[in-house]
Amino acid sequence: MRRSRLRDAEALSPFMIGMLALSLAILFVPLGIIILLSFNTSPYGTFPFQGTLKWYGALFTDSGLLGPTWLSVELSFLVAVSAAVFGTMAAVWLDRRASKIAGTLFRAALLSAITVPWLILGLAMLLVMNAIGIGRSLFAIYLGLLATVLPYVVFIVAARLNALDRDLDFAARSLGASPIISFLRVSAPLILPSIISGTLIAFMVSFNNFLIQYFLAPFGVQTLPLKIYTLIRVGYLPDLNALATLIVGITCLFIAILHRLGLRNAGLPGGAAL
Amino acid sequence: MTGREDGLTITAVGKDFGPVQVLKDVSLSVPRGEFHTLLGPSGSGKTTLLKIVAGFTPAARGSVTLAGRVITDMPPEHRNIGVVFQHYALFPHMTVAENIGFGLKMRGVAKAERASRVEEVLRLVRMADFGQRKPAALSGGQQQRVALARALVIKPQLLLLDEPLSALDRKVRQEVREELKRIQAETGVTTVMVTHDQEEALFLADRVLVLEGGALRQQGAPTDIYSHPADEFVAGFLGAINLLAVTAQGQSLRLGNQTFAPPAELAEALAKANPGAALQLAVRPEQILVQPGAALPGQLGGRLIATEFGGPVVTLRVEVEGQAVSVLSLSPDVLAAGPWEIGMPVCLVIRGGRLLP
Repeated sequence: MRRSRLRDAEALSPFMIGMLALSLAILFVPLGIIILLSFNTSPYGTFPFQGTLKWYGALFTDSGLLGPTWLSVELSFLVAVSAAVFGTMAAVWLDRRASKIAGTLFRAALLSAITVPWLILGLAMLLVMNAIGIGRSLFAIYLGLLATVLPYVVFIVAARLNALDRDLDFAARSLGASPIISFLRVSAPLILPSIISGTLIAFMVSFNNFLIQYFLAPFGVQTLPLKIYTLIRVGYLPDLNALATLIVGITCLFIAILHRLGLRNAGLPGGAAL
Repeated sequence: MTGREDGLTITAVGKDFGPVQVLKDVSLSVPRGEFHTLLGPSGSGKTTLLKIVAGFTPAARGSVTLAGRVITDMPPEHRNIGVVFQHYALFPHMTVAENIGFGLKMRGVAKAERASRVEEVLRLVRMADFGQRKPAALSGGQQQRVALARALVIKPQLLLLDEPLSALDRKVRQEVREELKRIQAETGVTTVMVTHDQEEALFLADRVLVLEGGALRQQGAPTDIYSHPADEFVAGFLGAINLLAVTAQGQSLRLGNQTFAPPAELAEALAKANPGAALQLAVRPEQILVQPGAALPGQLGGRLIATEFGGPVVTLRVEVEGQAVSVLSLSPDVLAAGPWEIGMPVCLVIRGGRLLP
């Protein structure tokens, strides 16, 4: 295993290795700088580097960042869990029950939620929310984010369901399981990794989605992306770097979980979840 | 055997996919304890019929009765039918024991009894040491035994097998085939198997039902259906067969310019045929005897075109009055009767067969 990977690496041309290094650098150098600066004493990012943890202290005491962060976490958690429930239900319907026309239309609608720019989607949602009387509110943000993350869960879970042998369900039914028991005991455990993957991705997309939050947030309510946007215009302290570092750390944890889910289930038919 | 009301009865069951009638009001009955196979090519409707019996797909017309209960509209979980699938359909996240115990769990059987019944059925399929393995760690043949155990442990009133051997290698297939026959005989469970493999059907079944185009073409005991096919389709589907164009001539048959004595079993059919009527004589290759030399009276004379050595058997291709005839004999018999040269005259004796209109 290890050997063949090495051999693959050797087969890469210098040009490809250069491109790979460049792409990784563009992705990770800014992250590295932010992480570094979060431990630097100077509030203006100047050197010499002097190690400190005071920005982490400030973050948890008087930064004003914690409120928006918790709001974003709570909101995204609610959105991700809702997306997991509704998305799994929709995926089951799509894979098992939907007629050809209904399925195609539903897929197209979900795809449009991914492909239509969030700028336009956000504006359209604001118009609709105003028209139906919900207006700018936390509930509007919840609905807007749910609509944007639902496709990720549906597509990931439906792909896994589609790879499941239909006869598994028939086998469970013939052995005496009702449709619901068959789903809970046979299908659900087998698609669980994909549900978790979809939920984590839904959480991250929801947490990040500045545009939808920007259009739908009522005045005075600030999620983390909105707070950062405000701070960047008026200048900010490195406690924001400290927060960013924590978020990168949590994201790494998420990725590790996703990776592990994939590996754990590599032996199942249909392959890895991600 | 016991009465028909104890087994499976299918009455005028039909099914359409759009404008296509995939099942044309099929009726059949399987007495309790018997092993029937539904034999047919793909698209014959055999799998659809099996799914209707299992309850996986609804019938458009007709009724299905099992052990005296009408089950036509009953959901599969209430039917008490064991099903074995082509690709095993074992639950990959459960161990072998959990797979087999699933049906018992659904029936509320207590844990201790469950364990002992799982163990018992594992012994029946000769997999006693494999209870704690996951299905992925088993070979195809082993997985199919576990699938069979899972279907049998619920003591079903009917066992349905959907092409259970076709995903297996040739050698394993023969092993599992023999196991299947033993286990069915030991348990005495009423069994219906769907297959497209005529050898499997003939080997396993008490009775073979040949399906084609959504309709039953013929049913009967394997030997009966093999040697007395009702029509050209059944004749061809059950194995190689010669279809010779002949005309009836009193108690004899005429093939081109030659007159020959038909096998004794055709006397009755021949008596009913109109003199001079054009008929087809369906003869299996192994129902013909061949010798070198010119034909005696009552025999057919021909010319050897080719010999094909197939290990235990040899196929001789003979041309008779412009018609190709295949003859299958055991190798030692052919070698003893030789030498054979291409183009030499040979004589044929037809020992059996069937007249088709």
